[in-house]
Amino acid sequence: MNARQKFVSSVRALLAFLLTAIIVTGGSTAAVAADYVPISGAGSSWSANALDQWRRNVKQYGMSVNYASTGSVDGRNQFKGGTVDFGVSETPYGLKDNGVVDELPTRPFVYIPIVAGGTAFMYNLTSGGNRITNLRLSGDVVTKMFTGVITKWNDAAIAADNPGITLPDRAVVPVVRSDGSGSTAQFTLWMATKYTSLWNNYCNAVGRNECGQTSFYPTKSGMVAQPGSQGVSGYVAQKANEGTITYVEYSYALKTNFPVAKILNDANYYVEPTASNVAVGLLGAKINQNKNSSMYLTQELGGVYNSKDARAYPLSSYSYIIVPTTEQASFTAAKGGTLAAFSNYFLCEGQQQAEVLGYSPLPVNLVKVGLEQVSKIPGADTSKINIAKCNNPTFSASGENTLAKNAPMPDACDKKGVEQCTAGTGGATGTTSGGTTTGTTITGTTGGTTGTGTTGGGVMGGTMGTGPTTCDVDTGVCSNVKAIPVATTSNGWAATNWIILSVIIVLVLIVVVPPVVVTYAARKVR
Amino acid sequence: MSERRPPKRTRFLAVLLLTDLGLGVFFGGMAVTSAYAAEGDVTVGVLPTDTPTVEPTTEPAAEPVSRQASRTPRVNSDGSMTIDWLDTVRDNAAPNYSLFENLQVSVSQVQDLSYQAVKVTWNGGVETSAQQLASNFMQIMQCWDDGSGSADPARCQFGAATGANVSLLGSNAMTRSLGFEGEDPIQDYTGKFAIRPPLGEYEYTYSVPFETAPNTLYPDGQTTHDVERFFDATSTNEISGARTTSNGTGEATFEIQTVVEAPHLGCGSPQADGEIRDCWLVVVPRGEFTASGENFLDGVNGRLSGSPLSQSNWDNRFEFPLSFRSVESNCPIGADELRTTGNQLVTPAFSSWQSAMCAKKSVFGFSMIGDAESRRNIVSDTDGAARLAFVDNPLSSIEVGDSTVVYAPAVKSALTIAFNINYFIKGGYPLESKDGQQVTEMTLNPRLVAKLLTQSYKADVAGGERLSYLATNALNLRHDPEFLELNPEFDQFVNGAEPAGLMVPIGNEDVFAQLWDYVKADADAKAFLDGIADDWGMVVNRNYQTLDIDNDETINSFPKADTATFRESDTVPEPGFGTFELRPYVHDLHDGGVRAFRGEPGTKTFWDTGRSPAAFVSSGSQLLGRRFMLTVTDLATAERLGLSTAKLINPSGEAVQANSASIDSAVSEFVESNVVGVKVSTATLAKEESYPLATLTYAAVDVCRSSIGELKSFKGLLSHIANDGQTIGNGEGEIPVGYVPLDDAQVAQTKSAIGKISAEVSNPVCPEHLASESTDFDTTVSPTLPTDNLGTPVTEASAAATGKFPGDPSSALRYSMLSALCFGIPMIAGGRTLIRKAKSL
Repeated sequence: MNARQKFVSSVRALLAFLLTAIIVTGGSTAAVAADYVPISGAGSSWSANALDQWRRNVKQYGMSVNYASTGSVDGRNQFKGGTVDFGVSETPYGLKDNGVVDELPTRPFVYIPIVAGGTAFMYNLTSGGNRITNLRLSGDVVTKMFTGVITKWNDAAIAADNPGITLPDRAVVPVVRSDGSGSTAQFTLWMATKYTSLWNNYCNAVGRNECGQTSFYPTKSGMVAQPGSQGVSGYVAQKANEGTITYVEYSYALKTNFPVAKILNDANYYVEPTASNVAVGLLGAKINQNKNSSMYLTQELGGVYNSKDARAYPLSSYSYIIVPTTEQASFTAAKGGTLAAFSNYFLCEGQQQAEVLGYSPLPVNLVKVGLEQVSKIPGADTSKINIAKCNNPTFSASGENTLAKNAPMPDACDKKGVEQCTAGTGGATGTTSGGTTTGTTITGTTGGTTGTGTTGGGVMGGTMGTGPTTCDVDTGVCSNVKAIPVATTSNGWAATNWIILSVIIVLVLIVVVPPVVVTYAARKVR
Repeated sequence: MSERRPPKRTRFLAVLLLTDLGLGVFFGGMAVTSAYAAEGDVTVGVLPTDTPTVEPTTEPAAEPVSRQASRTPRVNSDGSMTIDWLDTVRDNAAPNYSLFENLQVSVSQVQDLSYQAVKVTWNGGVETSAQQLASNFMQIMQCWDDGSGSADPARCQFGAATGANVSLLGSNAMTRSLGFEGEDPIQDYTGKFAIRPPLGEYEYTYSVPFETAPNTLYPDGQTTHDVERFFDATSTNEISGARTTSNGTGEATFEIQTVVEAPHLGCGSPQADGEIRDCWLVVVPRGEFTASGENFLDGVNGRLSGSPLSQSNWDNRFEFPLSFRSVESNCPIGADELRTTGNQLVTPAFSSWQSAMCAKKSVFGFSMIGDAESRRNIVSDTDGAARLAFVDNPLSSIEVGDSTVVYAPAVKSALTIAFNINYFIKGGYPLESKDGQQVTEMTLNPRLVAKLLTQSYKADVAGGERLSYLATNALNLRHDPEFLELNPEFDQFVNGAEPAGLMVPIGNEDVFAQLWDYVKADADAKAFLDGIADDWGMVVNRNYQTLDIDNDETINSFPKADTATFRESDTVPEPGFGTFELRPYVHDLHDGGVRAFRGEPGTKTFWDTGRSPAAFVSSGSQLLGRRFMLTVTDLATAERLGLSTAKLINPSGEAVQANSASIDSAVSEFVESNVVGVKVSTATLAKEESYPLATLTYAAVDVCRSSIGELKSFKGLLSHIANDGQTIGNGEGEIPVGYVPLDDAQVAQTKSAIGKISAEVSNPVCPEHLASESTDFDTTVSPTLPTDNLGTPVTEASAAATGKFPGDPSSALRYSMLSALCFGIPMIAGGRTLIRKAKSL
């Protein structure tokens, strides 16, 4: 083979390479439509506000997820009965409730943490014609209000928590869930653990001896029972229903523009269930790490209730999605593939939305074990499940929960004492006794008083402009990357530019090279 | 090198060369068409006309149907298709022949379909038996097309419906079950139709299995008798039975499902050969005789039995070929999403924009939250908060503080009161001929809306008929003389026909405040809210009078303020059910629409002691052909689901329905807000044609709190919104029917906002951006970034058009490359030989 032939064959090789490259590039944008099948689930209304948003966002990826917010108990029962592909619940199977043990389903399943949040105490109260938005309550007072011990808002115990408010002489109307509810289970567990005798006395008095943790709130006259988180929050949010207070996920207070009570923690600060305070609170949660336990990944919240961190919200918890691990009945591998992809989405990208909605993003340790569980779903595309690619807002290089680490310390006026912050809480914007900043819906901590150096705007300002955290695929090292969306977008453009450029070059080559080669070769021959 | 080659090789080379050149020409052609198509995508300033019209394509529907049709169905000029029963050769000795021979069925749209509703109408039928669906009704289903030219019963989505309607139809009539062997003389009972008995039993059972369309999920297809693996009562779109009126007509709204909603049918998905999967809409008329010729009256319960999929019944079918838009998701899951928030009105539009942007590798996340929450969110200091929000009203001067917020008009729409009501007429009354048909017109005035929103009808309060403060009030809307004056047809309804209230969503939205403003701007309605009785003695529910709504300027939600409870008997424990069991909130406007469409008000007032613990449960959805649903929803949702919307009496006293003209008229009357250039709704509309609940939603961007990277992505989104994002249609990136495109002035305003964002990107002035400039701002900047500013927004728009957001340039380029290669390779390979040959000539 002479030099010319070598040259010609190398040109051929180059063109063949380019041709392949073009076809391959082309192939990657032509996606296939039938990637997912519709899946449906039911359960927790506590988690529903987050689930609804995720369902809406995965539509752009061609995924159709249905969810009925019918309460945790119904979710567990429907999953057990096989009528849904997944259930969502705040509490696991196997607990004894009202004398009956909630049997485990016969179909094999696992729990995956889905979203964290604070069970908030949303209330409706005015004083002298003005809405009270900065109420504070200590744990025993909350328990007494929900067990009929404290019946008036101007009770001395409530007043002791609220030195800055003139409380009205009005009946306390506790609004509880009428349906089987995980929120009720979380709330009653807290009361049964922290205020055992108060709770037991109440249970005994209403004929539910030693009820402990229960999904069905034992009621007595003077209480109002309503169905679903929407029912209880909707009831309290009625202007006329003054004096009402309920337990419901924080997002419902944001949604209805109503305030929530700041709850006294063991560090003697009254705190609001903001995303960061819940994240701090959950640092105290013990996760069942026994992979052989039927309770694997479920939570033990004693450490949350008793957290000594000034920022910790005591009623912080997370809910679970219950997923099948075998194909059975109507649960096919195709459905499993979709459920796994959806789970992967909500554990990572979906958590970005948590804070805006009134939840708290799941921390890295829960996401990590959660993703391991996702791999057990039949039909899961395990190549897509990779913690290093998980865009979860809490991740950091050190493995610490960014949100908890950066959580602002409570203001001095939130410490138990004679001072009381005036800024509104929850979805209520106004301040209660005049004077200071408004519009602090989400954090509610930037009142008029200045806290320590790490509060409010200081921290936030410091992190402005930084993008989400990402982790290196190979090393597993995570770091804050500037403006991830930019990178994605501009990569897209860079790729297009590259195509345009290479096409132009190749076109020029194709037009110019053959005549040159031929002429060159012809001359040689001559 | 030998000049003489074996002839075989020469021939081979010649064929190769010709094939190659042919391919080259083909690719060249493709390149030109793709380039043309891509250019069409990026045309700036060409906005569609106001009225969305169905454009009939010139080519025939699909391949002609080869089922011995004497006439091939053709697509009408309006995109619909009509088929006569006798278009197909039928057996005139069949017992049902005389019942069907005049039947003519139409489907409102059969081409270019996506996930949407179509209307199925018919005439020339025989009236459905009273009350039940015992005889003479229609069964409607969707089936996938296997290319055989006709629909196959095993490939149809049918037989999953459950619930109260079971009591209306004969045995197996809403199932796939074939009953006993020989029940249908021409049905095959062997092979796939026979189900082996379970162990220990001997009787075979017979049923039509379901076969999935082969696609990526089920590559080889799957056949099963357990259809719930693929579809169930909540997901199926089958209509078990639709009624025919005494004048022989009938209609039904049918939900068309694509591969996304029903992957097992695969409609609209590309197949292995690149063709888009077609489907069928099948209508099976049911007469008075079963497959074996038995009269329905002789059957069990006196109802017509047998599955429509059974061969004899199946042979009577009408089949409409359906062609779909390609449902391609170019957007793989896994990219990081840029957060945005928005209200309920913009959500259906945003879902479409989101998909289009996602395909362009610019991925957005969206949280549907109330306007007020959105406004606080974009200027909040919360890390990771969304910096772009879709809201109707701008931020107040207090909220905005020293933030820099720009506003871009995004979309126009309307809030509606939509309904799904069937005529349910008293015997002997003139409208009896319409019994079971859908009501299409209704007029409401502000006071009627006020009554519906304040639980002032007895039926909207638990135990309302026994409450003294409601004693002088009408039982429900249909019994209200004021309503009957405006809607006299409803006077002929049977007494039992009553709405499950007006369904309203929980939460706050600017447009809910607008609805209250509309009510309060009317003197009669305002007086009613204040406690003044109407002309018939009806007063507002006192629980709402105390809310002082008529003077409350801040109300932006729908209260449910009556706390009365009720129990039927002592077996139900205290306190019984209340408002939230009787008239529960719906999640949002879209949920309200879907519930109205399905006849599911969510009422739970039936005390079920069979549960542990006992609880209030729903007594099921409203029966087919007997629905009476009213909901507050957005126009796009109403249109998608085929719900009719009420005319509202506007301040000029005109009854106006929401449509593009009435929305445009109202928006033209919008007034300046506290932000210059941002117009907001007003209740004092002067024009006769203005619809009172028209909306204009803005995209609000906090420029300085956004990073430079976020601003660039927002720019891309807004450019899409200002261009392709205003086209009405069901395609990716278009806005669904029910929205109204922005006019030129509004588009210019959006482009001006884009200009402001561009200015900040190229010449940052925000302190936040100056501080982080060095790291945020260099490598990622597109080289062609225009350096325009406030003064030259148009430059930006044209920049967006000429290359920043092309439709899809890559396919044109790809084709031209391939074409060039096809010509180029032989030139390289054989150029020398050719030239030498030429010289030797």
